[in-house]
Amino acid sequence: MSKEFTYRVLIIGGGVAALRCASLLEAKKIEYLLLERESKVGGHVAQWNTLFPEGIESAQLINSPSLSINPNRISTNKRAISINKRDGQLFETKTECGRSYLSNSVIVATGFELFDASLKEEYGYSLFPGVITNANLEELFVRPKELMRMAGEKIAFLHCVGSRDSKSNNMGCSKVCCITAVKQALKIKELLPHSSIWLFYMDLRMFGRGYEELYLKAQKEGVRFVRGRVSEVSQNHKSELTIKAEDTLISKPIKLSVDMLVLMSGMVSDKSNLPLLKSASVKFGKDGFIDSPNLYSLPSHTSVEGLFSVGAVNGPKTIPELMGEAAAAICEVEKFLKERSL
Amino acid sequence: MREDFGFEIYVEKRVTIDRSKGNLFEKLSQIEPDILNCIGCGSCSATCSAALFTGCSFREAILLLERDMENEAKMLLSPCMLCGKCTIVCPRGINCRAIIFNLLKS
Repeated sequence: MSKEFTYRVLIIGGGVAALRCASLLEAKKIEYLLLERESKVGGHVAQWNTLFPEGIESAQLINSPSLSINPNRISTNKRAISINKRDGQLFETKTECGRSYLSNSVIVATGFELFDASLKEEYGYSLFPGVITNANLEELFVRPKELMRMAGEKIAFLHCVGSRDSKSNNMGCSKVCCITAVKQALKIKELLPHSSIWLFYMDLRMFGRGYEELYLKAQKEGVRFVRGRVSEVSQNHKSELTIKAEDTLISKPIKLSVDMLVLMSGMVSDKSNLPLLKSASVKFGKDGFIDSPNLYSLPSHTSVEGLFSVGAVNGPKTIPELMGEAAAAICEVEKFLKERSL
Repeated sequence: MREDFGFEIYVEKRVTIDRSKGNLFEKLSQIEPDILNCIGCGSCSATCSAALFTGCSFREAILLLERDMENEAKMLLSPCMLCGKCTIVCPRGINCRAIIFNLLKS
């Protein structure tokens, strides 16, 4: 029997969390391979235009030295479909294209997916052309002329689409959308200084450093915040969108016509990766995010020894948070390999 | 003479927001730009002496102004005694007293 090559670490996923893990492993000279299902790495962050709260370009982060790795260690177009333990020791990861990889440990960094806004039919996404999502808007920022034509003079943002919503089977708060909406509103204000922008929110969760400052900046620039969740959106013959909501702070129903409505779709667990997690017998919550056996002291551990999770695969996260998590996880991986003399 | 038809018509309570330039909110925000910074926390109304016995609420008045409901806002603030406690407690540093003063003056 020919001896199969065994990697010490196999990283599944190619987003910023996975890239950070890879670059740290490279620095520690630990043999690894990164499997990415798409044709190039970068994940969701590569689709964003700028990053909150400082507004740097996302490309700047992806090309930064802390995320750059040896391209030979990246294997693209490889969608992992199952992870099994062979002889109770080695992990065997199989891909959709029929390849199999052996490794001593596995880091699952498969990330999240955005909530499919068309499921909230009352908001008219994919029905009315003026209704777009936060992800569509980030793509439009690259084509400002098209955006300016589409945005018109009046733009509304709707927070918590598919988040904190039992009807969408998602109780969780996606936490990063509040600040993302503020960032995007400011960006539109920059492109269209005379536009009127309204944000419909339930709560504004400005939890991070510099977020509250950005919120105040948006207020000063004239972005208006309305507390109330939009109940329905309709379109008239002039392609104007009409939004119905309640201004809960004055207890009055309100109506507003806008040219463009941006739905802030939240981060939810990537359903297409659930079979992968199930095959490895990794414990995950009702929300589909990976559970840790001890959230407080071992956040990157999973119910399977030697299998670690990093990034938004175990819950919505900001980039600085997952950078810290990646570094901590690599320490745990190193410890795991050393303890077993692997 | 008013005929009694046995029913009455309700006035629509829904507010249509189409921010008109040059309304009172706009004018006040030029005098006191801080009016834009309100987060609706309610500190001003909580500390208000007049609010103990009347419906006086600076927080609500700001929103009513924003929704073009000027008369309602003025009515709401009419019991104000301009003591200025709201200005002291505001976490966003809004000069509430100056805004009320300018509003009632207009």
